[in-house]
Amino acid sequence: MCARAVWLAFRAPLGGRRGFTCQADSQGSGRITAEVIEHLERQALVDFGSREAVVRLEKAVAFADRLRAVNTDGVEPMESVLEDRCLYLRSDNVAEGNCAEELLQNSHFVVEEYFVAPPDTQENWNEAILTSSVFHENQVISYISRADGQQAQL
Amino acid sequence: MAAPVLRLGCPGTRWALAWVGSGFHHRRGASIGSTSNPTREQSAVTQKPLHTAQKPRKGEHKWEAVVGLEIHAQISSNSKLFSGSQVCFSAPPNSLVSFFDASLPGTLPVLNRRCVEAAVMTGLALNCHINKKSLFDRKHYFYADLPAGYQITQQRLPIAVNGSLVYSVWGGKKRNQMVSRTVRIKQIQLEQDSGKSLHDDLRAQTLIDLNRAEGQLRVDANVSVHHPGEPLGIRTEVKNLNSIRFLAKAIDFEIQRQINELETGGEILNETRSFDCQLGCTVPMRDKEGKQDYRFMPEPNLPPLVLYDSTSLPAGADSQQVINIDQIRDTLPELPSVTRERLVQQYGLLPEHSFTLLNEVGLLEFFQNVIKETRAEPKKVANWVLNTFLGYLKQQNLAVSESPVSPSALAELLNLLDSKAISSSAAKQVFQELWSAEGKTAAQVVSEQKLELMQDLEALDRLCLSTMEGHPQVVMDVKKGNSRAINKLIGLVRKATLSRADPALIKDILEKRLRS
Repeated sequence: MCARAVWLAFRAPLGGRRGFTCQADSQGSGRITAEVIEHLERQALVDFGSREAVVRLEKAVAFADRLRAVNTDGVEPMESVLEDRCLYLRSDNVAEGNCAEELLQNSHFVVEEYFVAPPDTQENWNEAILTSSVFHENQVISYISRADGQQAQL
Repeated sequence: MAAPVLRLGCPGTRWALAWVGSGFHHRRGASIGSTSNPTREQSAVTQKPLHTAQKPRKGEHKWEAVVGLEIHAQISSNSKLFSGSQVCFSAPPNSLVSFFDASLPGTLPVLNRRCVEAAVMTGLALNCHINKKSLFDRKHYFYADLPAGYQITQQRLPIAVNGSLVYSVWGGKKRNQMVSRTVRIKQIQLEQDSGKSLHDDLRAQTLIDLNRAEGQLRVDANVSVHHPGEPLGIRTEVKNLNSIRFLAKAIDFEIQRQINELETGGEILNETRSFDCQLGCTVPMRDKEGKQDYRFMPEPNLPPLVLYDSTSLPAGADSQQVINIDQIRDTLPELPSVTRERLVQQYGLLPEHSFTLLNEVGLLEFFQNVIKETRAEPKKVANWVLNTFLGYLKQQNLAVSESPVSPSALAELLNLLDSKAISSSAAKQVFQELWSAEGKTAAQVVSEQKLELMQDLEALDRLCLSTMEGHPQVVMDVKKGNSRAINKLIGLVRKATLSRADPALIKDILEKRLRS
């Protein structure tokens, strides 16, 4: 089952849903399995620290599912909120770049003019990203909760 | 980063599903070490059609292989796909990187018009349907040379779909005939490229250069096998293919490996494999996760890309901001298949010749320049260019542009040959001299080496007579009806003339003499 289904649909879609939603098994209870949590943690490099956090996620998904109350039969899905805007086309001229020094200042470690990353193993990756920029699940949940008018608990 | 890339998908029917999970760049370069030299593919991208591999055992079902190629071609433009950084080969690391390319927060992609035009041109050249509306998506995965954590691509609705390419290969029993094949193009999409990683295993670190990835043309092959009539098999993806030759080898190996595996009761895993060019085999790449989940989502910062044609073009639209498919179609140059056909019609060449002329860089131009300056027949010119000239080039591994013989020089030589001033064997000698001693003209070589054909018919006649008198036995043989004997006589006369007489002429004179 695709991870994105977690965010978008647990029940079979109503109406003419296309795009990234896929046919997910109806779980009814809205419980998210440990397998899915593990998968999410790997894919998005988030850290669900506790069962409480998972419950909060389930609530967030249930909240989003309320969108399904809307009958969308015969309505074309909106692919982009920018669908009425014109996509600006830039002419093919060189106008940027040449700022290596400035960019390299952002990095803790550089070797000559290269950025440095740990060697290519999954463990190193997970560790490096989790320690340097922890994207805690609370931040995600708090965003969704705020839209609902509730106060976030960080 | 954000160097513009066109991705072409050539199918099996599997593609609708397979595309979602296909592992572009999933573990690129990891097992090879430092990969800073881009590989350049010379000839046009080849695509393998449906291939039937047969197992030699009796009673076994036939196997059918399905091969799909994922081709990444860098667009020729001044600046990148989504930023105004320069696209240029071999620049100091991270010097062609803008804030957007470094994925600094708050930066946004801005689409390069030239890249869209290039994509439309490619789609038109490959007989695709151009989508008047196409969408951009984000494909998420983590890798050091992808600082944003996602790549902007066109997964749901790409710019061009459902095309085809007709191409020729050497076929027939002796592999000397041109056989026509067609391959389907599933889709063409615009896609951001990543940066470049240099793996320093010694110091256990990876160096990142965000200018652009290496390689102007990269190909991954997807292979599966099945019995005809049954559903398609599980496919594997093969990466690290650095040349057309390795591409073919890898595909052949993988097809056979899958067949062997399935016939001994094993199963094929949907995995990514790497081609080991030294061993000539594919090996699994380190991949603990199985299928990669890219969590595709619409790119929120880019509206749909809308293209127009002459009928739908809005009145008074800013010409810089709209793209007219019909206008682009008009700017397409003559496509190779049309050129090949034209050569066959115009010069009476064989398709095989036409094919070879277009397969070498600069050869067609060379051929046409010779034609311009010579009276000789196009077929003769083609023969000299494709056999003698090309032969010399290949022997010394030279490109057409490095040839010591210019089109004018060859044209002059062919004129001499055409006017029967020299024999064809003399012409070959002259050519050799022209090749090794630059700057001389054909006429010079001819006079220096005294290669002119004997024009004095009387002298030739006398020579024939004296040869006949000197070899009465051979003359007897000819008169008895031995057809081979006359060739011997001709040979003798030729020797006497130091190869400066036209053999056909000698034959004429001898026959006249023998009859009398």
